Amino acid sequence: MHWMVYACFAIVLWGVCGVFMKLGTNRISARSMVIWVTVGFLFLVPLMWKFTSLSGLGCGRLVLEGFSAGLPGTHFRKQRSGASHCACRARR
Amino acid sequence: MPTDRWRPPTWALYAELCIICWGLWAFLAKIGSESATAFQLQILFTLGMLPVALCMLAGMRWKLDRDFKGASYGILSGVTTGLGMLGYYGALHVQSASVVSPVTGLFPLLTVVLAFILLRERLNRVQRCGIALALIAIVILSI
Repeated sequence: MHWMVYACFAIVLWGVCGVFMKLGTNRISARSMVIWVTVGFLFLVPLMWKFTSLSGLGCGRLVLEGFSAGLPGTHFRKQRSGASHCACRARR
Repeated sequence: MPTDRWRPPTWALYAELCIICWGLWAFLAKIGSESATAFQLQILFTLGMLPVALCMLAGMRWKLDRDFKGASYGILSGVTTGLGMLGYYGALHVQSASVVSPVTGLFPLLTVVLAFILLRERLNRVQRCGIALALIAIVILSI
C-alpha cells in the first residue's frame, strides 16, 4: 500500500483526536486528560496483541520512544492557559 | 528605571518542550520501524507512556478528575491517537521520516476544519490562506 494512505489515515484520526482533546480539556484538568488518554491507549493493547508479539525486540529503545512522546503531557495544560487550541496543535 | 525583562509566556515554554520531545519521538519511531511492526511499536509506546502517566497521577496525589464526558473524550483521544499511530508507523516503514513527519504533521488542518464546523471557532483570511498553503504542501511532499 502507498505510504500516503497510511499517512492520510494518521492525519484523519489525529485531526479528529484534536477535537476530542479540546472537548475533554474543557471539562477536566490537563493532567487528568493525560491519564485518560493513556487509558485509551491501554484499550488498544489487547487488539494489537492479537496481531503480534514482542518476542525478539530490543525493547529499551522503543519504550524510551513512548516515554519521549508522553513527556509533553503539559501540552494539554497550555490549551487551558490562554493559547488557542489550533495554534498549539499547529506547532507540532 | 524599567528593569522588566521580556520573558516568554509559560505556554510557549511548554510548546517548546513538546516540540523537542515529539521530535525525538518521531526520530526514534523511524529507527524502531526498521526492526518492529506498527503493532509492536504501538504496544511499546503504550508501555513507555505508563511511567509518565503514573508520575502524573502521583503528582496529582492520585486525585483524578472523573467527569464522565471529560473522561470519555480523553479515552476517545487515546484510541484515535493510538490508531493514527499505526498509520504513522506504517508510513515510516516504507518512507523516510523526513517526508512522513511533515505530511502527518499537517493533521491540525483537519482539527481546524472540525473546530470550525463543530465548535464554531472562526478563521480569519490569513489563517484560511495558511490552510490552503498547507494543503499545497501535502501535494508537493507526496510527489
